[in-house]
Amino acid sequence: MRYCFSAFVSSVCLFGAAVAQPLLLQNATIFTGGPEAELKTGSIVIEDETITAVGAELRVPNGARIVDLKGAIVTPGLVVANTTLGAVEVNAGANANDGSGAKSTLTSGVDLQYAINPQSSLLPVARSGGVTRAFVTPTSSGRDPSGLKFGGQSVSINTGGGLKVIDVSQLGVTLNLSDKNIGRGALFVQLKSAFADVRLYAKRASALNNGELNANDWTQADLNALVPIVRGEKPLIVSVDRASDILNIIQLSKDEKIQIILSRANEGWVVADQIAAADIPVILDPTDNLPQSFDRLASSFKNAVRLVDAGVKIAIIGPRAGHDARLLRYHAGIAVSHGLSRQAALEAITINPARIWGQENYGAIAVGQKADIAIWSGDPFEPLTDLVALYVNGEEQSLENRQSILRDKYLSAD
Amino acid sequence: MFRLVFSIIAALGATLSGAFAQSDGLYPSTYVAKESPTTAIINATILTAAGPRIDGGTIILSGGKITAIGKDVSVPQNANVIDANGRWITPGIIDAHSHLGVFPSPSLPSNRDGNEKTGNNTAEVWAEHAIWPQDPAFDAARDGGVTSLVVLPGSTNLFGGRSVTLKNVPAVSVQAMKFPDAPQGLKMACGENPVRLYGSKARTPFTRMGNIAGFREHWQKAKAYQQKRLKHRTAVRAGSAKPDAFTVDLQLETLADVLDGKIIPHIHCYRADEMTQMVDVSKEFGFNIGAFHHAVEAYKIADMLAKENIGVATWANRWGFKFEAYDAIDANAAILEKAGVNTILHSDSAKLIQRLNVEAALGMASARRSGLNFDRETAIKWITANPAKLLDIIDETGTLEVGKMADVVLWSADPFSVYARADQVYIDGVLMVDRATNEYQNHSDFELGQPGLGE
Repeated sequence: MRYCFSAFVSSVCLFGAAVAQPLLLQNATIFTGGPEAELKTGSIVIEDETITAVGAELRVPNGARIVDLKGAIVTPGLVVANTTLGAVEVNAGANANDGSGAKSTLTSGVDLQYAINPQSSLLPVARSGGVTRAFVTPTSSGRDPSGLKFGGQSVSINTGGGLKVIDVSQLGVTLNLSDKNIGRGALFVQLKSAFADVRLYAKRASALNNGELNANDWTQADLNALVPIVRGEKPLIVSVDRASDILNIIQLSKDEKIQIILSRANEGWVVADQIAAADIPVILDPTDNLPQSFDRLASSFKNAVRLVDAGVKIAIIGPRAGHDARLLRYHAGIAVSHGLSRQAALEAITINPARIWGQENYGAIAVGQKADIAIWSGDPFEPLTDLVALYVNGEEQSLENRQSILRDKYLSAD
Repeated sequence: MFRLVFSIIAALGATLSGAFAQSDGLYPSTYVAKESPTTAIINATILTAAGPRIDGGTIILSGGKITAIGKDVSVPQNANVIDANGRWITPGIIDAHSHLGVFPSPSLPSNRDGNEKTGNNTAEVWAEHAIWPQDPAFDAARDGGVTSLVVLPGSTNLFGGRSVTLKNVPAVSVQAMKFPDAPQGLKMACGENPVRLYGSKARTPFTRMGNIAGFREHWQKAKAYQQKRLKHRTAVRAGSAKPDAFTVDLQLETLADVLDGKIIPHIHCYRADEMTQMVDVSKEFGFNIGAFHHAVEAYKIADMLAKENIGVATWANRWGFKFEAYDAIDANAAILEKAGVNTILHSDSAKLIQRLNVEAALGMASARRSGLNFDRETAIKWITANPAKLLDIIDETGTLEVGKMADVVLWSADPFSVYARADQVYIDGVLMVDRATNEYQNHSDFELGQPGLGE
């Protein structure tokens, strides 16, 4: 495959796999997204997919290609904390939705790595919004009347093209408790009972076939997926909104010694101190401000800023549909318009989602991080700002996508 | 256009002692704007949606109307003066497509009132009869600068029913929100939705063929009904028939009123080829389509839509949620604007309605990326003047011009910025939102005594 780009240099062509030639991006306005959060004016050196230097005055590696960014704003590539990107091409009516195993007999055993289509037309569209990484989670129906049902195991991907987009698979299990109407009195008891089953199974696998487990509909795959959860090795991603439910989940995480990531958490701000004290991160959509159910009466535009003020690590998302991954940056901006600092908002779409999911090697512009870099014509949260160039693993990406191709076809037709 | 036809027919009908169209005089608007002090907002950057931007401008709101606007405007002595300090002013935002009140928050099994899914033609139902005025989304939309909006029935039926235009004012009844004298609309839907529900029950429409056949069948009946109704009215006028010697069919009343030009047809339609089919249907039966809604493939037929004078209400960038939305592109609005189509950005969402200004900015950004440099003066029309034109309320609102309703938003910053918030919102000159004090903030009854109050 041959890619040619000309964002800043007259012409650059890459053939096949990543070229080992070092790259120096100079004269950039850098928002690192990292611990040393402040704005820097300087350069970035990329060698072998990785950032090897960031600073004001850097040595130029031998044979480096030099790109003058002319003061453009540079951020880490954006990271979507919770999406269907790559697993769903079309949501409804097209036999192109692999976002869920809900129609199977599996629950937690569902493994979304097999759903990812590297050739999905959504990936280039996501790139056009500066997205370089995403955590793809199985959908589980919030209105499932059968009660407790795990969604399955998540997978992390990059948007770097080619056929190898999966970074890490089997990344924790999802559980959707949002807008449930099956009776909490049963739900939390069932959940504890399920964990007891998994612990017994983890100790003695024969317990499954000997009929010793409380629930009779377990599959081996479901139990296997939950073993690392009960051992506290991988997170349980719990979608939940009501403040009382959040407190119950916090208690559960203490009793069961499991890692929790809260998702949605519309009423999270009501119990922000408790979430912070339990050191539980939250993935939220800052536009969830309406009381869309009796479980979300306290929904607020200020959820993001109040959680951050309380010391909670948050990741910001937009709509979960992979089609909308490109809207991530505006959602960060909306959180800012309701009081979140720009720095916190940038972290919430770069380093935080990576770290929340336990990924340490991308999400910031810092030495040792994968060279995922977005270059912008201005403030990346602003609609009128353009993405100028995007690097994933040090490789510049095409910003063309099916939509821009359709556009050009019909524009040139007149 | 619709209003004109209406007045002529109304003048004829005045002598007909109540035998005229069902809706006339029934279910009237009871909205009356409250008294408001004369307000002068000075030192503002004003996008009028009717002409060039005014820097350092002044706008005077008095008696519910805009009484002066421009650079050199003298401030009346009694005016309450607000210094905008360079902040921006736009007309109140108008959403041409929402389901507020009929699919309200909270969304509960007991209040999903937006779609009468009992048959492929439910033209007899009116969205306004189901609107819950306590939907907190009305307040949220007002906080986002929305001063007027349309509420439509859903899209499961070929004929979904009548839509209504509202002023976004707090009220206990929907009648007290109805935009005075604004014409109703008729919601129609082509494509996947009707097929999905009725086809799955082995009822027509099972296919898109069935969609068009269904439209033709019902319009055929409507045409016959319209002629029969006219004949009856003429006979009543001539004294040769009694007014009640005519059996009213509520379903056909709606369709016949469309044929009479009194009700604006709004057609939910995604694909270019289906829109083209619907244009042929409209020609067969002689009605003028107001707008295609959603219309994500409208860019493929932009010139035709411009020539036929059909508007398009679409999103800035929603796509892919179903196959008929797969070819959506974010330059849709830009290409339509370029072709001269009445281009509208709508929400169809209780979330998006709160930031249609950002939608307009996204549309403008997509235009720029496509080499089409529409300025703010043009892009602001997508959410103000253009929907007002479609809804036939452009003589009353939608732009900032002398004599129009004082529906005005004062923004904290450039409204094309994601950081802009509506600092103040005026509806008919009445201050409805004031972020500085929260004094005018309405709270839905539903939120009173609840933890979400004021959130």
